[in-house]
Amino acid sequence: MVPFAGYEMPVQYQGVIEETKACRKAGGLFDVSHMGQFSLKGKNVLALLQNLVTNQLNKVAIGQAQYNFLCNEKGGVIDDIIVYHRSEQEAFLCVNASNRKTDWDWFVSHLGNNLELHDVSDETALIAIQGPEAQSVLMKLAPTGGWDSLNYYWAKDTILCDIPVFASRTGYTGEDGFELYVPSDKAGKLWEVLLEEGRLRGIQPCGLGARDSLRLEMGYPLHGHELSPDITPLQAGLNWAVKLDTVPHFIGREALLKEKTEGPHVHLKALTVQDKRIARQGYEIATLDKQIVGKITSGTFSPHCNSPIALGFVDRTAGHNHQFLIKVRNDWVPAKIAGLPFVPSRVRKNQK
Amino acid sequence: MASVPNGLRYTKEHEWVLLEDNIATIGITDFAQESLGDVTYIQLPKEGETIGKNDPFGVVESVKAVSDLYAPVSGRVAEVNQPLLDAPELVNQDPYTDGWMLKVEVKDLSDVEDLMEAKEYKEYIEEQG
Repeated sequence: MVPFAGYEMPVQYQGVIEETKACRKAGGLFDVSHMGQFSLKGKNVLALLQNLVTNQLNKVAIGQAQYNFLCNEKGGVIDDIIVYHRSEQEAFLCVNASNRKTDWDWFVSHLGNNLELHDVSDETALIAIQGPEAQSVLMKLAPTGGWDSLNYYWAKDTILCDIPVFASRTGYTGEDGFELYVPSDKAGKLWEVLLEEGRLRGIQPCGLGARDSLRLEMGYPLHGHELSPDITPLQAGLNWAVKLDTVPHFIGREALLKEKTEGPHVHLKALTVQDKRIARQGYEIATLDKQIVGKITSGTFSPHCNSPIALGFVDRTAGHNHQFLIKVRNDWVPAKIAGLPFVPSRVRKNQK
Repeated sequence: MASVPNGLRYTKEHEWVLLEDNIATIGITDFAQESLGDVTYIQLPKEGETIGKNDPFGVVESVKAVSDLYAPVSGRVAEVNQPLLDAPELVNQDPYTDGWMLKVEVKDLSDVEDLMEAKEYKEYIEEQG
């Protein structure tokens, strides 16, 4: 167990590699209760929230969710969050644990006069069930739950084993699966029933280590690594969640518009390391003639690729290179550009 | 509970030593492999090189972290566990048998006498939590 943002978090149960494989093969159960949740209520809640976030909220129907960035004036990412349009006048937000306080202050200072804000993180736990067997577990526990008709990035309030859950077809693994927001005092019970039913199908509990490997195999960013107040979404290649024509414009839009016109000075690259050593955060990236052109932001061992994989920022000047060297302690280790995701995505394909 | 076989000697950095005549077989303990998690890479000196007591002699890397290995004794490396370099997961599976790292010709046998016995090491890791 390690302390993380005020929570005691399991890094691993059986081992990072075994858990990562289990999640892709059958499924994984994740206790991610450290994540923060805010409820924003009031008239025109999404239109008001649009002032602060980069994606197009007027496209989000009631019951739908959307990935968004909360940017500062420089276009740097204060946090990456999921916005749920939970009911006509309520937005429910899932935020990163380590940014909970910063985000809260930001929302209060910008929206506090117009909306009713609640930080519901402490009373809300979050359990993710991910992998090919995830849906069958929920269907077994709640056969009439309509799980199969819940599309990717949609959510609904429902009852699971007599426990009220806000169930969302989202995740951080690239597998099909669900994230279940549940009252904290009921989370232990829900975890037990999910695990018991899940184990019969090969689902294993997964710790933070596997969570990190799974998200890295997909190339998903993690705030504090690929995103930060000094890194813009465009640098991280996440343009798809930045809409420069929102009404109203969001904070940071001008900086991002300028950066889009001029082109970001750094680009996030996915790398496969041609060595057994893991390229870790902070390790230098160089061209083949050893000119330093960037730094690794995240690295792990990918069971799927059977090699270390990494993400890192590279200067624009070296942006077209396909081969790099990474300084691993005292050695230069070769790495080559990889396409993302490292592992094919198996998230739910929405049915009309 | 991590296994701590009798008959071996132990360091505070969680290496074990088996002394047979003047040859010390060296590895890392069950407690160490459990703390490290999945080991993905091991770097060891070559045969014929010398290592010095308490000096780093190699690196063990897991998904979670990179750690130096510290020599429990001084001496000349007589043999390296080559299969281990290709299959570092052996350290997780069998830290005391297939997961051994080096055989070293010990220069000064008193190096080994300084090390903890199983009972002491057990107490030591209990303190470490």
